[in-house]
Amino acid sequence: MEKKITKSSNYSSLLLYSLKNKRSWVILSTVIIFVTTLLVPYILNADKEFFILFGIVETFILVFLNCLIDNNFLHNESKLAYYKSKPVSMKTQISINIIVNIMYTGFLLALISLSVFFQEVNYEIFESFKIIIPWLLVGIMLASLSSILSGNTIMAGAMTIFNFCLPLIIYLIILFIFTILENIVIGFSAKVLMDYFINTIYKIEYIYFLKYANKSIDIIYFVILAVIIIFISLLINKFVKRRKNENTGNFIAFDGYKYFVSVLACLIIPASFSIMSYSNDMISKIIVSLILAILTYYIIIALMEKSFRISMLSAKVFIVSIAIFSAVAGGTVIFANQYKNVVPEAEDVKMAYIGTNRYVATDGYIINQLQKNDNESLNNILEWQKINGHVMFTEKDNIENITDLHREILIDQNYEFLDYYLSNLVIVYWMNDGRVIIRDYKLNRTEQTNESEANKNKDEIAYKIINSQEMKQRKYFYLYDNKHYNSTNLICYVSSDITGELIKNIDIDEVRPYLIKDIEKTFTELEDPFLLLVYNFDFYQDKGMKTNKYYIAIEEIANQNHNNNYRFYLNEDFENTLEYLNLK
Amino acid sequence: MLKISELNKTFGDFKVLHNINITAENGQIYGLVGSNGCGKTTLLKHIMNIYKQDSGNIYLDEMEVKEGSEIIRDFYYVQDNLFFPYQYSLKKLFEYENLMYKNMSLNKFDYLVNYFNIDKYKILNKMSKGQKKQAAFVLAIAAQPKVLLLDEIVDGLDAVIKRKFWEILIQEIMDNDMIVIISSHDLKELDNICDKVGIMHEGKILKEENLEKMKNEIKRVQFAVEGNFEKIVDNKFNIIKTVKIGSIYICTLTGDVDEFKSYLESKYKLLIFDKLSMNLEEIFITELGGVGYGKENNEI
Repeated sequence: MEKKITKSSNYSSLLLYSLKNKRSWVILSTVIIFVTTLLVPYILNADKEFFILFGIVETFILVFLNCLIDNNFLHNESKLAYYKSKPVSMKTQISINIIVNIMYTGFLLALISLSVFFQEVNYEIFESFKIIIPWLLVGIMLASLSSILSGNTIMAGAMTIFNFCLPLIIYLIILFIFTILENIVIGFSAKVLMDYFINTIYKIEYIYFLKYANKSIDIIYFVILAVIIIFISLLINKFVKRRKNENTGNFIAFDGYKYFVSVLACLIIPASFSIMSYSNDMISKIIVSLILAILTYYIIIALMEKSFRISMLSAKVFIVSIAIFSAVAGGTVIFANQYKNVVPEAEDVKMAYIGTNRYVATDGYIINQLQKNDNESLNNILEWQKINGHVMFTEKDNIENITDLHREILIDQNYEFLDYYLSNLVIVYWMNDGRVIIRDYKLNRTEQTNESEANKNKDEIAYKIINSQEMKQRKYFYLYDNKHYNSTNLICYVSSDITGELIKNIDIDEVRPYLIKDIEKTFTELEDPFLLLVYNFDFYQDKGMKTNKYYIAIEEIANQNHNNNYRFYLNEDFENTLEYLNLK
Repeated sequence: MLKISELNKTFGDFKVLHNINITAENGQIYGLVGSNGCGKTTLLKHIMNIYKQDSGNIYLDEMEVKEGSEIIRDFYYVQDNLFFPYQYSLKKLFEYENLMYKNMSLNKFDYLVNYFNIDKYKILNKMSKGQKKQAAFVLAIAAQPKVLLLDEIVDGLDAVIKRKFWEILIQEIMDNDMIVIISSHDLKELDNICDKVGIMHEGKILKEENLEKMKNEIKRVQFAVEGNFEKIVDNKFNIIKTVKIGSIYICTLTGDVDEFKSYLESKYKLLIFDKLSMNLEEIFITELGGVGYGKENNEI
């Protein structure tokens, strides 16, 4: 039976030996960290926190360099032949390098921690260690993996960064597909789809541990870290076995990985162009994207193969990759296209929103609450909308009006408005079965002098929504909602909008009926109800600022540290309020 | 016994090793000779598992040699293009290798350091090419492997050091029954020490035989006849090559030389006929000439 070299006696001896060999790096790093995080800020009497952050950046650079240097035996033929001919497997040598570099990283972080204590800077800087430690750990693993995949050390460095950014690159490519979809199928927004996608399926913030920037460490943190490390270890194990050492000296040691990098790179460039481009001409966008993809692929392959004549196989890989990408993007477009004219039945909808804010549907908190799907979570959402100033409708009449308005928009995406630029219109339905339907339309601005039928219909429906009791109760809950009104402490005063000077304090109980009366009157006399509904009355306030010099502020003392502040700009529509205040 | 069986390797579209079959017995020095770029180093790297073969197997004492096999500890490879870790002296490198090789002998190391008069504390990368070769050789012998692979080990060494090398090597083989595979272009050197030879060309082993047997098989004669010597078409004497220098013909053949002489006497008036001895270099040139490599201008 074949005997295998096990991690026996010589493993620990080799590990100790490698640790001893790190001595010079340890001394050098100690000097660097000491000088930059303690000595220089002391001499310059400069911002200590900045130099601590600088020390963290240095840690990344030192660890990165060490990993590349330790693994560079994979990138030189005679060096590789020497180490590979020794009775220690490549896997063992790489694992020793990983362990030594992890220990070295621990030492560097300990130095940084000591500097933080000595400098007496804000200890909150340790919060960043929640992200720095997994980044360094994963970076060390990725540097080893990239060194195996690459045939030269500079390329190994570049591939470490590439592999670290891989989840981000995938994000960019998915966004590219959604951007194509947005440009072809009306009602679909790449931003909305992407936000929803990363909040529900592709949780990139967790992959990069950024979620923990403002969150304490939990079991999921360790699970994610363990999964990533195990995954990279498995890849290292697999690729060490399959590495063709005769490719040492080439940029990339694996043909498959060479094409993988080239194909992704040739998608990133057109993806970035497409995402950043404001052009709506889809044909020219596709042509430019294709040219960019071909050019990028050719340059990368020519560099990697060190020849301007690219092989037939490389050309085939490109064609197949582009065909697969086109099929995925095309399939997504075809799939989405069948839903573009779908408007749900009102009775199937639990809650609806119309406005300009996409994040009402994609905010992590809302998604989290909706997943619970109970009465408490619905109340939590309605509380959230109060804080964020949005109106979500739950009454059937309003939901029906929103679906009617949605049908009108599908018929005609034009709306006449002379003074304001309306960028997008977002409609969200939270369905009874837990699904969420999000549509994002780009309205075309028209400047016709005669009121069109399209405008008329949209305004009629919007008028009904605005004048509904639910709308007022949700929008001006601090005035309309008696329960809320009676349970909170409200302070009310009038100030000059020009100087900010306090004019007078007023009794909210006395001014409340006048404010309500004016709001009711304003709502019944609206000129552009559709625009007002979508804009959530923002420019209604602007109008006040232009014609009047005062505003009423209502302060709600929510807790010791936080006040909610609501304002009414007193324009000519607030006739009754102005009269009561003697400010006419 | 080291056995390589049906070993094949392709680099991209280029087939570098074709069905390589080699057998080296314990206590044998195996000379691997061949044309430039024929794949000698590639073959040695396959034996050491530095490169992985597409097909075929390598066995030591009927145990397959694979990455991670325990028997890898019994191999030691000294490459042509020597590498030593940065800032290492011979002493430090010995300590490092001592962690990996189970039979590393400090006594032998000290003896050889003295024998070759090497400064064991000198940084290896600051040594001359010849000194580096000696240092690598010292470590290889101190490791006491079962199989020692030496790639162009005597290249660039002076005659005295070469002699010392062979003395030590032969002594080691006698003491430890070691298998030594030496790849070299210096065929005269190999001629003196090799037991067995494998001749490589374009990734193939053209011939593998005990050197003495090879020398007995291939013979060379020089003769002169009255009139012109006609090329023997039916080649019943298995004439490999005939060269004409002035009026003298030099013929390389296998088979019975006396029968060939009788044939010449029956056809021509034989003026001169002498048997010549063959060395490894001549055998090498003859074998490669047979496959069209380095054909001589005066060949008939």
